[in-house]
Formats: sequence, C-alpha cells, structure tokens
Amino acid sequence: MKPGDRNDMDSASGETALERAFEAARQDAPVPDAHLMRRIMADAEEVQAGFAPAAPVGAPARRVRLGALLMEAVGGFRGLGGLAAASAFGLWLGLSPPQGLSDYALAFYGETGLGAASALDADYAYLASLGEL
Amino acid sequence: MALDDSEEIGDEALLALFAAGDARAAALLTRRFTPLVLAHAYRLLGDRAEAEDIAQEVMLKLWRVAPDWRQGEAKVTTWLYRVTANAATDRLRKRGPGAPLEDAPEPRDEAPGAEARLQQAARGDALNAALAELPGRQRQAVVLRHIDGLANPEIAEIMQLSVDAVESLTARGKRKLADLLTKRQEELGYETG
Repeated sequence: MKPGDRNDMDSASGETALERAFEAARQDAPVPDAHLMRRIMADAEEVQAGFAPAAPVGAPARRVRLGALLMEAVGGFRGLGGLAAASAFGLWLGLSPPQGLSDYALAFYGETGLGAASALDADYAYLASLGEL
Repeated sequence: MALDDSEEIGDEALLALFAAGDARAAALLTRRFTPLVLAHAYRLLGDRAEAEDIAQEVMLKLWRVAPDWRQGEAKVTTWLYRVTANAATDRLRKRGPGAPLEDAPEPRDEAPGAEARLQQAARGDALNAALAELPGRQRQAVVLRHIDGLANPEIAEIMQLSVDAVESLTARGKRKLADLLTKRQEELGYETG
C-alpha cells in the first residue's frame, strides 16, 4: 500500500484510474466453460427438433364445400333449372305407359294437352313396328 | 455458403440457417454469442452462477425466436444485450436491494509472484462491487459504453432511450463509480489506481 496513491481518485488521475478499472474488467471477462456450452447446445437441439418442416411452395389448398362443388358441376343455378326440367320429363316419360298414352294424357290434361301426347303415341307405334318395344 | 467460413457468415444468416434445421449453425451461434451474453450478465449481476443461468435463458430465447426473426430490422447483438439486461433486471428485482459494498469479493492475495495479475483482479473486483451500487439503468449504460465498448447510438437502441439520455446516464454513472472506488480504496487500503 502506498499512502500517496490512496487518493488518486480524488486527484487529476482519477479518470485514469477509472479507465484502468474498466480495462481490468474487460480483461477479466468470464469465459463460458464446457458445461455451460453443452447446456446451451442441448437446448438448441431440442428447440430445433421442434421446428415444423418447411411448407411446400405454392398457394395453399382452397377449402371447397361439397354443395358448392355439386353446384359447379351442374353449371350453376341455370344448369340446375335445366336439370330439374329434364328430370321431370324423364319421370313423366317413365311413368307413362306405352299403350293408351292418349287416354292417360286426356284424362289428366284434357283436349288441349293432347297434341304432344298424340305425337308420342305415333312414336311408340313406330318403335313397336320395329320390334323395339 | 460454406459454414467452414464461419467468420464470413453474418449473424442473421446463421440464425436463418439455424431455423432451417442446420445443426452446425447452432454450434456456431453458441460459440459466437454465449461469451457476450455471459459477460454482460456477469457485469450486471456480479455473480457467475446467476450469469450462467441468464446466459442459458437468453440463448434459449434466441433459439425460439429464430424462425420468426425479421431480417434487417435489428442486429442480433442488440437484441441479445436487451434481452440479457431485462433478464438481469428481473433477477435483481427478485434479489432485492443490491449487496452492500462491504460484501463484495475481497482482493485476492493467495497467488504469490503474480502481483500485476492480482492488482488487475483487485481492480476488477472493486469495479464490480462499485457497479453493483449504481442504479440499474446507470449500471447498464456504463457497462455497455465503457466495458463492452459500444457507441452511444447502439446503446440508445438497446436501452430504448435517446442518445442524450444515454450520455447523461453514462456521465452520472462514471462520476458515482469514481466516488465509490475512491471510498472503497480508502476502506480497504489497497491500490485501485
């Protein structure tokens, strides 16, 4: 201990003494030991293992509802109208007996609705002559 | 990009490689940043064991944030200093008021023939004890400026303060440190200068 040096912080050299202390702190920095490095690496591996694999490049898949898919398949509302009309005609055609169609139509639709039914009668007669019915 | 040239790889690029699952990037980041985080935590806390816990905690946060890291927004080191300081502040808050100067480590004198090294160690111990006496923000600013050697604008970014506020903090911190070191020198009767 040098008594003359005791009060160097109070003197003009105080700044220098502080700089020396800073320099000493820089030199005295703690160095991580192997145990700490292993702990940190173990954390890194654990976190890395939890990362999700990269998503495939491209637009995400679009969610499509079944109803919308069917509507699109028949051509929208306009197509749906046509489909309903065709279905109704097919149903009527299936229910109509080949023989006596005129009587059946007459019973339901009267004289005014008979034109189309009579034309069908002719078609059936033609098909019957060919042996198709 | 070859990981063999690890010095050439930027911090953010390494972080992106880590997020992509590259194990070598993990090792390089650990070697590159653990000393910085440990040293900063130690200077703020003055306790080696606690500083090691903080280092592990901060590096774990870095691993977790890697996939969401926004390239070009902030330096990785700036983020690390900030997270380390926050973690250290939490520790100090839990610890309560700082340890009094008298409880600081005594100068080490058990290694004969190494006077210069002992004196340097004594200076370091005295400084750590004096740093513990400073208010938290002053301590952080002084450590970043005068020990870690950062420029004031970067310190301002880390501490989320203006540059003027950083200059004020470091100036007040330095004055108080000088007073504390003088006082300690008189109490213990050894050279710090």
